Amino acid sequence: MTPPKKILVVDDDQDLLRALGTRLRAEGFGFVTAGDGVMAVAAARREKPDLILLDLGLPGGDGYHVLERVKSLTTTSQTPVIVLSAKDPLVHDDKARKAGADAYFQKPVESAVLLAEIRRLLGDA
Amino acid sequence: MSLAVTAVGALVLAGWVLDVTALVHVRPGFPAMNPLSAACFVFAGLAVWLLADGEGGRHARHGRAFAIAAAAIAALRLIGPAALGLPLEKLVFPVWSERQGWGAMSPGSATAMILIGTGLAIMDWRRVRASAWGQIPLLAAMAPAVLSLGLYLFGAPIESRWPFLRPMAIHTAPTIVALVCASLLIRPRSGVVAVATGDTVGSTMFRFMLPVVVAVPVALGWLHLIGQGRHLYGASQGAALVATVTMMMLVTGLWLVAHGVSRAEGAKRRVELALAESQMRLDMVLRSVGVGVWNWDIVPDRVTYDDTVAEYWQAERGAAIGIREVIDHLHPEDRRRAIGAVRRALREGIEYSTSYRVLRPDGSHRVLGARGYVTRDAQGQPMRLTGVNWDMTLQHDAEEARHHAQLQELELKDQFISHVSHELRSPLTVVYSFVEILLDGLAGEINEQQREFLQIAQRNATQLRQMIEDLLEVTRAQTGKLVVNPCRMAVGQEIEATLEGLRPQASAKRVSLAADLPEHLPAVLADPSRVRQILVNLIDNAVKFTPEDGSIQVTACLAGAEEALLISVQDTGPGIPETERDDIFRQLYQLDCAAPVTRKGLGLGLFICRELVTRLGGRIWVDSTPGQGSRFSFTLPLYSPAAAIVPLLTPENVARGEYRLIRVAFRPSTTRSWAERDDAVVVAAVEVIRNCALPDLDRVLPRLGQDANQESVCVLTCAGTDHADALAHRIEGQLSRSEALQSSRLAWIIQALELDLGIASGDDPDALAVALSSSIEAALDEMELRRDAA
Repeated sequence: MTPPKKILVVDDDQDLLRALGTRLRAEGFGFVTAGDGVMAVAAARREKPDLILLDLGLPGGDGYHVLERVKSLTTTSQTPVIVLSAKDPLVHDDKARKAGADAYFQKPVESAVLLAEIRRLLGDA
Repeated sequence: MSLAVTAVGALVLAGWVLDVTALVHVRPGFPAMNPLSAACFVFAGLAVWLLADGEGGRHARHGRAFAIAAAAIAALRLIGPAALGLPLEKLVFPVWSERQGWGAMSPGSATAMILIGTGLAIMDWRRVRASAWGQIPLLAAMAPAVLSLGLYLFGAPIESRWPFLRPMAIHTAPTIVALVCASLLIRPRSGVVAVATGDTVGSTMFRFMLPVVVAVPVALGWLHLIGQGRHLYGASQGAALVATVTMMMLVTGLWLVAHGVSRAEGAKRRVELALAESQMRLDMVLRSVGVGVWNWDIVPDRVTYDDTVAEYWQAERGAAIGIREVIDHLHPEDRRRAIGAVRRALREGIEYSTSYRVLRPDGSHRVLGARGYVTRDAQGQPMRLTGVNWDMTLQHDAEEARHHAQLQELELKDQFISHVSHELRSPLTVVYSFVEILLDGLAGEINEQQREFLQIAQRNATQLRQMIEDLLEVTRAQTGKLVVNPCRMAVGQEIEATLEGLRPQASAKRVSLAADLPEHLPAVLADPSRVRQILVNLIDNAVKFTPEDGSIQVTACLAGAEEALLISVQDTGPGIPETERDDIFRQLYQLDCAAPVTRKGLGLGLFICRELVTRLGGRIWVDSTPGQGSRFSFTLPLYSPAAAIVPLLTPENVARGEYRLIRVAFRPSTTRSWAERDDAVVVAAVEVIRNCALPDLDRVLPRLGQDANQESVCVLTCAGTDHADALAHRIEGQLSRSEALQSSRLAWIIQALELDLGIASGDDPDALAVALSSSIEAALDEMELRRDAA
């Protein structure tokens, strides 16, 4: 049996981290969390996750800063990133994709939709 | 008259040849007209006729040659005896000179002919200036002729000791007078004659006095002779009488002239005074309201202006400038519009009205209102532009500041609402996520009642999310950020898809949901995601208001006379009272009477629908019978490149008759399918292509919309192959430099196609546009076929 895929979830809302954690664990993913930008970059470097779920509004360096760092590290530059933010997609969708994100969802998102995109990016149907 | 002179000369010559006394002498015993004089008349008459022709060039040259010939003959006659040893006549006409009554050409006639010939010869020489000098010898030529007439009138003896007092032949003298008059009338408006023919006070006086001045001396001479004949007085007394009467007459004439001039002068002075007074009043009014006047004389290109205008433009007072310098001082952004307004007035109107900003040398600016009138000449050509300027800077700046403040206020509100909505979304997401987790049993089994309650909580969380979304849309509408991206789309598919999405909600209420769509619906020009938003709003409302076991039907058909598609959503709800049918489209409006308890919302949905439909170029309204239901209808414009093409079909472009279509097809370069955000990239690409097109020759057609794996943008061009190739090249270059396309994963292919119009559709732009537009559709279809076959 292959080890479960590991997902790094970055959000400053502890309640949401818990909700996402419950959902991901139920779907058979391994996961780590980070509550701010600095910790997010450190966790990405240390844990080498298979995918990153990233909020934009973060203390200690916002989501764009994290994206930039993650994409510049050789170990994580190929890791897919899904941005999950409350911000207006009219403004941030393109901006996030240009910064290297692979998908953008505005909160709240139905878990089915989010999981489908996670699976697509991880390459299993 | 000139030909009559020639005829007299010719008749006299004939008289000499045939020896007819009546022609040569008029009366036996009178002096004969010398054949040389007759020949001079023939030449001079022809000369006047040719010069008067007015064609210039060859005619004038021939005329001058005839005039010189006449003068030469007369000159040879005068110098003949000294230079040739014999009078000229004896040499030329030895036979006739033996005849009885033969007389040499009189020196008076010869002098007159020399003067006339010279005058005519220089008449058209260097045109205007010489014609003035040419008239002087002509006038001098009158003197010998008039003297001869006087001699005949007062019965003077034919022979005289002094050759100049020997009269000319009796028909020579009037013929010379006629010849001189005809010559003077060749250029009646220039030189000395202009005074006699003009319409000034002086000319009128001259014409009035001329008969008096001619008649008085003649009458006096005649009276003097009669008096002397009857021995009433002696020679010296007669001379004294003539002198006195002449003096009195001349003084009277002089007084009349002076009186006339004084009266004219007085009238002129009164007019000038009145003019100066009205000018002063006008100046006072203009200055007090701050209006300046300027003038542009178009042909010499001279702009003049008053002090007020000079102050507005900070121009040097009273300087002579051309229109170019005026344009240079206009704000670059306003130049096109201002020049356009003036051009239009010059081309087809007489009046224009505009406003523009003026950049002053010291760096400040003024906003000026401008109004102008075109004065045209008799041919309708614009001659002069007279305009006024007034200062609008204060109003303009105040307006600008107000607008700016309003925008700022809206911007703040926008920021506030996006901030609030962001803050609301985060806790909502947590609520939503945990409800989902509970419903999915991730936290343990739940019973039926718990499931029902959780579903209610989930439904309300979804509604809350929709309200936040609506709030944002309204703010976007107010700040002008509500964007629509119209392209060619099929409404039928969108309706079916929307109904499918809302069916669970409707079945929960046992409300039937059906669409009634005709087989072939024409494509519309609209934004697919926005059309879906409108449909969801309307159908969602209908579901909410329709009681259980009701029905909702969506229909689409062509809207009567409009070039539009009509889409209606009919429900069997409570209906809407007539008084409120307009209000429901307003912001925050909710029906209070019939609202069911389950109804929740901010009342923004219909307002957003109206904003969207209006931005897409349609209308939205509601028909309702209270108690029986409501029917919400909206229209969307049909997709038709024809309307976009018409402005391109100017007469010049139609005359060229070469239409080409450039198609730029965009496809994703990876294997993934189209995503919503590719739309933004295509919009950016259309903007790039639009910037490559030349406004007079090319037109970017409305977007064709996305099919499974591509979208085309088409440009129609009117200037032949070379131009189309250059345009394609330009587009390729600009697209590969575009940042938006670089960061996307879109690839593109550019093709140029010749358009076959079939049978030419004439010059009617509308018919031509329709033909072109179906030709474009055909070309695109063919391209699709080829691609599918490949």
